[in-house]
Amino acid sequence: MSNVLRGLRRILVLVVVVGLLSATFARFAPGFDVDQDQLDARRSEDSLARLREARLSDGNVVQFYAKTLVGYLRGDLGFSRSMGQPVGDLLKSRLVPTAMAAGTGLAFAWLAGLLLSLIAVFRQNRFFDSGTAVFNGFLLCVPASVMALLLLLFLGSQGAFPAGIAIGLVLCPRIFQYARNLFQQGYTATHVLAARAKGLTGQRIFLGHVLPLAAPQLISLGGVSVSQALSAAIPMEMILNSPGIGQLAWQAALARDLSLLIMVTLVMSVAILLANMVSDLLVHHLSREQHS
Amino acid sequence: MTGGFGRILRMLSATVLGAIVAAGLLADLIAPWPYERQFREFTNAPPSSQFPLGTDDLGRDRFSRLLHGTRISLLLAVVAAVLATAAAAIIGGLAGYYGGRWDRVVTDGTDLMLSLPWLFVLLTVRAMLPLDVAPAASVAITFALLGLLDWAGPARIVRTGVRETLDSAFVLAARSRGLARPRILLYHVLPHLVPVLTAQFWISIPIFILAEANLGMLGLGVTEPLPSWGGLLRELESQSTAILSLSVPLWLLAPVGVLLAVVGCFQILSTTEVTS
Repeated sequence: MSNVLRGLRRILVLVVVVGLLSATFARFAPGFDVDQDQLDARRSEDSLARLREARLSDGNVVQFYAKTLVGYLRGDLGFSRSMGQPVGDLLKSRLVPTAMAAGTGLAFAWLAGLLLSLIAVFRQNRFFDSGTAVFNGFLLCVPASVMALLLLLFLGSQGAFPAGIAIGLVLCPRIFQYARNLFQQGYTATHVLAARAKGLTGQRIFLGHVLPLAAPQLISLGGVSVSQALSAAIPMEMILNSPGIGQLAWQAALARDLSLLIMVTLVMSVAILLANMVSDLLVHHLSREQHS
Repeated sequence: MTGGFGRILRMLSATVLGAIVAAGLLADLIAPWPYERQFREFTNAPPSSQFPLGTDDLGRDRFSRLLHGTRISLLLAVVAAVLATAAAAIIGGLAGYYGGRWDRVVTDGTDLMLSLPWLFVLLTVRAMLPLDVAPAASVAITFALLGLLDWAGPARIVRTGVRETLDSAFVLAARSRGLARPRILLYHVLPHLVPVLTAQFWISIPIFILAEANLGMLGLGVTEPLPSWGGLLRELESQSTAILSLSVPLWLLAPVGVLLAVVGCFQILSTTEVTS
């Protein structure tokens, strides 16, 4: 229970600190006082005066914070100037494609990474090791955006599914390397050596002795991989034309739509913290089980 | 990567990397044309003796732009790595040395930084700064941001290193002899952090090269007409229709090849550095 409270407190601190920092950055960012619409020659004097008035109301920093905070509490996440829609609506409509892409990517990366690491540990074949080393090295050297282009070249289609596969290809080498090293380390533990000497089958040794040793760190890696998958979503969704949060962040950055961009970053940060909290809880639960 | 094969691979990596770095540094001498010169009568030209990698939409020589882009991306990734390593050394070093409240603040700060989605934060901070800036300013902004946003992970490693060093017998001996704190930090703790900091520096370079490539492809990196690897890769992104129909000209992939070679070489060499 205390771990859940600690995790939730961390999320609350993040929301408050990042919210205030973002509001400060947004308030003092160059060009805050100027609205591009004010340069539109077709606007009437009345319209220009209203725009100036709207900008002046944000001029006082304390008022600006208060307005932002009260809005958040009411569930009003602000209004996107570039998209002409409430930020909350935009986030709702974009969450599903990103969840699909990130989910596909994570599933693909974990399945492929664990499978390859198990083959590497059980087979211990030089050719397999060299092949995976070269392939892994290649995947680690490719920028996420180029990976998306390569996938476009091979799959010839765009959308959330190809974006998910591309995210999976970015994550897979990291999961494979980490899992293989953990399993190899597990096999060198003295009690595992003793189990082998007693003639236990490979399957029993792995499931009963090696996997429990590696499980806490693999679960922690699970939390970290969510963060990596969501970060990789930006170039993937932009290039593979998947209308998710990553693409929204990119469009907001190009349009310098700070209220939207900040909210997107905050939502992603909370998602990552929640994932890390869940993995921490699982690790805690597992270590208690192992000790009892 | 040990033994004869590993040694050959490392030597090969060092040679390839050396050649690419030299080509980038000598871009002014090697490049057949200035990177910004436009040949309007030769737009989108295929490779020829005049333009070894053809020309782009504006009729600029791709080979010359690749050489100059190599120089910009490589030099500034190094600068960003120096910046990130220095920030990590100062923040992590002071947190480890002074401990107590300062340590808790820094640990919470690094936790917070590490839990933020890096690319989203980078995009947000970049968008808060003006997008329409002079090319030289865009270079400075891009790499200052990269350097200043990636201190948290290395700072934590440095902090742990400092704490371990402070517990060692020779630091206790120095303390018992009444040496001043700055002296202990400078002459006894810092030399022991050099291997950690060097490893962090080498690890950071390929990370920053890849980050610049991603930012450039998103249109938020170094601005035109200055070339960088990210900017050159952006040309590929605009060819997505050609990619879909499998008709993308191979010479357009030259920046990808150079980028892969450089990051690959750095990874092979940095693995050796970290291991040592």
